[in-house]
Amino acid sequence: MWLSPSLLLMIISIVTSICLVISSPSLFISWIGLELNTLAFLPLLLSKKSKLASEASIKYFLTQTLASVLILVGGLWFLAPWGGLATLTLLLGLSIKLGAAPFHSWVLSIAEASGWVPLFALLTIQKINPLLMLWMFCHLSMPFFYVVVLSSLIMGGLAGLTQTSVRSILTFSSINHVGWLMTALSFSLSVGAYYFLIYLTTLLCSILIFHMFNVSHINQLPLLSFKPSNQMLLFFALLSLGGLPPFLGFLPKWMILQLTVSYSLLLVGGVMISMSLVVLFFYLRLMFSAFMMGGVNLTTLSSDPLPFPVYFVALFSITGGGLSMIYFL
Amino acid sequence: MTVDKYLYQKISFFLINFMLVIGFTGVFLSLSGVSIFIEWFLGGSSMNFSLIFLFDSISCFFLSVVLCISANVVWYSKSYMATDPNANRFILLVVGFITSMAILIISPNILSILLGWDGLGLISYGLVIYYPSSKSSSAGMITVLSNRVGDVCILLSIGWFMSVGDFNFSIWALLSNTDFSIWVSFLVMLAAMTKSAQIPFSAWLPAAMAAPTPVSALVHSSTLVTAGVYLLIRFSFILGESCSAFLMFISIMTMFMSGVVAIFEYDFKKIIALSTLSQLGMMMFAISLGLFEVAFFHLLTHALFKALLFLCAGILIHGVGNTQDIRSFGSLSLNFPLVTVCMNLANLSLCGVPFLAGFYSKDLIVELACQYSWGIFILLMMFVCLSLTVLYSVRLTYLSFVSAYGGGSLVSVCETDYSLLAPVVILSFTSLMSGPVLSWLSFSCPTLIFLPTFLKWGALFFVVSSVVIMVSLQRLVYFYMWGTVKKFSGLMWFLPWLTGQWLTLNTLKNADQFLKIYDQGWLEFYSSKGISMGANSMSLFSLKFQHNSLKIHFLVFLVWLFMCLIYIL
Repeated sequence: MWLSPSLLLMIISIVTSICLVISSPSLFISWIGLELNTLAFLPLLLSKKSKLASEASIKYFLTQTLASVLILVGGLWFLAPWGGLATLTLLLGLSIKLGAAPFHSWVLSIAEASGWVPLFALLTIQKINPLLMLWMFCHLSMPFFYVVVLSSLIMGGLAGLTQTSVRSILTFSSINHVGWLMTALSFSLSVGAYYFLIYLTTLLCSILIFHMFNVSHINQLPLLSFKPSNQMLLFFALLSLGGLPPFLGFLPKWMILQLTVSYSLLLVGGVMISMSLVVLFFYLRLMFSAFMMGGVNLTTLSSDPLPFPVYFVALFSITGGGLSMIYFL
Repeated sequence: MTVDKYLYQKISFFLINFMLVIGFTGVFLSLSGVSIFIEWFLGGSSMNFSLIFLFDSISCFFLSVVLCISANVVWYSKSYMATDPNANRFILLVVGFITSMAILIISPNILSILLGWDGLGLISYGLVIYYPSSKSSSAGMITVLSNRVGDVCILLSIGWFMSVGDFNFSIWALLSNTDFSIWVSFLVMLAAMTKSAQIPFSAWLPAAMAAPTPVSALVHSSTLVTAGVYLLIRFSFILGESCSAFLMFISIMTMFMSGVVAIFEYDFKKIIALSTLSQLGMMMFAISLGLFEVAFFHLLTHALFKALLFLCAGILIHGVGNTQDIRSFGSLSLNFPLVTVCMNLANLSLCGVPFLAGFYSKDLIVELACQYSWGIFILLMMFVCLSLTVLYSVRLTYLSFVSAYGGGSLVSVCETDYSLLAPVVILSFTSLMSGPVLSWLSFSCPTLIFLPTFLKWGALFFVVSSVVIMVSLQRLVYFYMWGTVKKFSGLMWFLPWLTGQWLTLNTLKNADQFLKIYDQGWLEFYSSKGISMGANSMSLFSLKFQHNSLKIHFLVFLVWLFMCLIYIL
């Protein structure tokens, strides 16, 4: 389905928008890239063909357009001598685009309504452009930056505590990760890119497993396959996403914590650590219900929902292809 | 049913051989004045840890006495525990006990002393609860918990040693400027007091007589309870003035209390336990005077004749049909001639009759105490306790051998079992000879005693007069008077109740309050449940903005925008 001409065109447009944003000399060309991104993503949301999906795509379009308006206005205010105001509005618009708290309320309803692949794209690919613009224009010295980062971390952690749908849990975890990403980007581009790539990998594995098992709610987790290897796979994928050593997801978090401490941003570091505990708690709660019941007994190997390539993806995303050897250096 | 038909004999033989080796080593070491340290050095560059064994003349003598007693006890228990179905467990526990005691004796290092000490406490618990009855179980509980207090004190002093630098206290004995504070001496003294059942902790020793008799002979007469005294002898460099004064008071009170209680006691083994307690008080008294070698000498001789006493008691108890009440004994000298002889030997040497073992050690303590004395009250109390010892020993002898027979009629009062008698005879020979032999080995020259005449004759006068008093009391006057004193002494001055039921009742009441109101109540509310409820309520609050209304989302964005604009402008 994803290689059909219409959707292929949209995917290529998204890639083009990323190239536009990276390589643009001015803010207005980047804005064009952002708009292209929004418009190209809408058919991906509509790929599910249900009334809920069209509602979600309308919400997405309206929110992203508002954010783009704010970005444009902020960019324009650079020409007038209102520098502080400009960066503030720019940061506001970019935060709305990212889905960072306190502007995160739109992500949840869209995430609930979309399929797994659009969800993955929403949570990762759609974040590339705003993050790049963030790196270009906004800096750690702004107080509002701190507000966004801290509230993203806290909201992502605490609001996810009472969620029962798997999609909303992943949404709130991505809001938490946006906090980490923004801090990473404020140090340097390579750190941010590193964190982003690893986040993409770990999230890919988790979403792949949820997609294969067609699990949308915490009620459905006890019905996972009885094979311990499948349960273990999901468990480790979620733990890697949560950033538990010795999995892959711990490495970027470690790096960012070390940078945070060496730059003496101790409040941010402390909030990061405590909120990652909360995030890890709701991942574990997911798997707790899966482990308690034991699941459905699959007797024939051919009806195993996980095709073999998933294990390769999991290998890389959980262990980083042996990247854990870095601990022994 | 044992695994091997000759198991007990094999173990006993091994122990005898080991004892001979250690005994000769001890003689050699004491004559040449050499100490042997055997050290295993573990660890490499950053961590240095060494396991050291000290073979000193003191440790070799003590170890050989312990091994001699345990060899005899194992041989004795071959026939004593022959009808018991759990004899395997018994012999395993006894062997474990001997191993722990050996570890305790040969270690100059407080960590390995803790190994032996804890092993002793645990295994003696296993031995006391050997018979499955509720009396044994409560006796075992009070034993192990009293010993546990001593373990805690040793653990605390380990922490202290860690800060001073070295765990081997044999090094500190040589230095003159040790910076040990008074707390370490207090802790070590407290540990010795719990093990040797001095006054606050003396409830467990008579209660532990619920164990089988060979166990009492090995554990509660010579090895476990003397571990505390041995610890104090090893830590002799640490006892200062105030600790010695405290220890003197405690030991005198213990001697007095156990002597008084033993006069009114009717359980055979408990009387012997109380006599052990009073001799332990005598040893602690000697330590508090600073007479460490004499206390050690008394420890060795006392171990031998007390084990002998317990073994004879076992034969008598078996004889009158497994009852321990002394009122069912009587006129047993007609049927147990050999046991009577050995038991009399042990009792007389306990009293300090001249030229038996007790005379060499106990009389030496008495005379040296008269020389070193701290005041007239101490001296008076010591003589009173001497006479109390004689009183209860004579009462014991009279009631079991001389008075009219008070037991049942279907009993088998005979001494034909050689494996019960042979250890008794061997131990009696050993204890006869141990007095002079050990005094010639331990003290290179005789001690000079310089006393006025009445003090010199004092001990002998008190002994003889006590014999006369007790015999006349038993024959002429009936013991009906002093009802309150009887009750007071019969319940052992209420010490078991004080450290047992009263303490646990009050503690449990408080503990119940702590558990229900604090731990499962308010602490849950404030810490775990409270935090989770707070986090959940925050999460629910944030969900109020998640209503599916785009207008509210955009309003939130615009409100933030205006707030920031107002802040900037």
